[in-house]
Amino acid sequence: MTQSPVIEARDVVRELGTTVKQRVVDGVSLDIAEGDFVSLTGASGSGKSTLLYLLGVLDRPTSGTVTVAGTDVSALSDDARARFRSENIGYVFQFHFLLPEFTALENVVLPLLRRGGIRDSEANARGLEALTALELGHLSARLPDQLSGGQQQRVAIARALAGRPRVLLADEPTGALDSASGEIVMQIFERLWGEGMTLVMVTHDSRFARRAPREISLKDGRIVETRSHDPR
Amino acid sequence: MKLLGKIVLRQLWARRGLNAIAAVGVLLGVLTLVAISGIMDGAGEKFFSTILQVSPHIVVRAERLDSATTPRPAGFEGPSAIAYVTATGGDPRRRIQRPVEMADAIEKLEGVVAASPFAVGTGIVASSSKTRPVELRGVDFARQDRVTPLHGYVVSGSYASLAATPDSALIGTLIAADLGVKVGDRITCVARGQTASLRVAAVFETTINAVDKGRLYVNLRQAQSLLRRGDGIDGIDGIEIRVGDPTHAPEITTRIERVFGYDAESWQQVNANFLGLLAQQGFVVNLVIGALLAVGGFGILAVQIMIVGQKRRDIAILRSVGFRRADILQIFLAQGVAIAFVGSLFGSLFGHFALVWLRTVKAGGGGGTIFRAEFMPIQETWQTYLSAAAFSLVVGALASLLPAWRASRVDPIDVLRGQL
Repeated sequence: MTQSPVIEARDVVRELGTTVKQRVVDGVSLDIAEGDFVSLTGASGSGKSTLLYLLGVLDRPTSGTVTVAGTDVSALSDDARARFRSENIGYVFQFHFLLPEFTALENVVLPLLRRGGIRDSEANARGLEALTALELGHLSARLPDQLSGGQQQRVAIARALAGRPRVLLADEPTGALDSASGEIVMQIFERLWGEGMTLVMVTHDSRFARRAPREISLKDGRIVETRSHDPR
Repeated sequence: MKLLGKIVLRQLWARRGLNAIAAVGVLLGVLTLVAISGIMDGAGEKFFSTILQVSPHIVVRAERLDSATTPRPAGFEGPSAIAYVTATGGDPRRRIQRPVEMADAIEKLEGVVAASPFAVGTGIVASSSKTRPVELRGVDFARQDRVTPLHGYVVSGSYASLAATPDSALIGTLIAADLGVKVGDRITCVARGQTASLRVAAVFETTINAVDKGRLYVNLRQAQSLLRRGDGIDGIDGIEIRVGDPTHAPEITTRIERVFGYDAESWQQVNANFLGLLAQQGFVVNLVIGALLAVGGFGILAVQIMIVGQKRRDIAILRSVGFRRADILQIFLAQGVAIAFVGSLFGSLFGHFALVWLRTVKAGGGGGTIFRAEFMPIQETWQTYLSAAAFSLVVGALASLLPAWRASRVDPIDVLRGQL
């Protein structure tokens, strides 16, 4: 299933703090190939979420390089990084982060419309397709507060997928859900991976981490272990 | 832009209560601006439109200026202007020589509509046992009407009949009321020890109190006789002039002084104190209105800062899915401008209603006021609304600049870390 690397991180360091510097990510190097499904695990404060933001072009490394889809994203300007994210990366966060004033469908198509080059009708069709694939087509006109937590998270996944990204990054996507909703989200991820999507998922739940073929464990900002699992 | 506009409108609507409070601040400022401007402009317009009809735009006085180096007016044919109007004899410094010819010459200047010689002095008018002091003005009624078209203000009698008989008098309504006389009645006028019996041929009403209770117009020869002036050059105190555009009166005044060498005064110079007072009053009022709109701006600022604080999570998500800093800046700037626009719109609307209501308010206008009016004079101009809208939009943009800038500086990572 694995092909050429879509994400390459080399000696990535990320320091936080102004007076007292703390190395949250400390010299991480890793490759994630097209079609990989990788879980990042570790205790709280191990640097897994920060590493995810670095790989997802949300954050800049203090040193080292991150290359995504052949582009050294460390050198890009803020606006270029925003555009790069909208074209290549889909994000799912622990909390759904849907805009409360917009319907489910509108939340899904917002990034598409911002990227431009697409008519409203086409964007709506793609948004509805993404929602339908997650069995939410019939709820497309609802506002976020009219949906359950699991449904909200699925709308967030649809939003991440509607732009047809190269990579889907998920930060504790099941962290705020009950176990049944969490299971549904994991099944969606497995189905997407089966369809060829590259996924990187941060989780502290070992049950879900084991469902990714590769699990990378971090401690104090360093990779301490890489394990392979047999996906179900 | 369409997408950002949609986000702006949705966010404004979602917090319509807060935004409405901010808009009310702007509304009150604009309402005040429109109402006060309407009242002040109305009063100013009423005064000046009337005073510019019943008083000359320029007065040339029978007093020569020191410098007699007066050039010939452009396009003026014949001998030099001074030579044209000056005759020998008497004290030439205190007289206008050949005033009719000079008035004719002035009328040929560019921008001048009409010119008419006059004699003026103080006198007393009496009827039965009542008397009152007046400004006695001797004019050529036909010629004077082109300078100060008083015929339009005649409320009884006939202006045309004034020139027909030498003892005709034109008086203001307040004099007529004080003396208890009407058209056809006779009044006695005393000036410089001379007495004349005059027939009230017409009564005028300008609504300017000083004019209606102070001026008595008689034929020029009658005034010259009462004021013990001789005919012709000795009997003229000056020439009153009407110009096409009263705003250009100062330039034309300077030109007349240079060309004819006599002291001249524009209506702006005559009313300098009043104009200065109006300007001072306008400045203070604008200062108060500006402060009111600034307070409205602070309302927008406070609400926007609060909203940006509440919206940090939404800003972070917009940034993480590809929105640029400039997009966020535009969204919040547009929200501030939109609040100001709505406030300005409703402020203009309520301001208009306030002016409609003020037009029905009885003005009072007793003797202590400058002019009389049954209802409060109001002037409503599109410039007032335009300046109110422009000013409030600028205030809205300035007020939302800081919150919008802060919103654009929100780093999604900081927010996302805070959530974990």
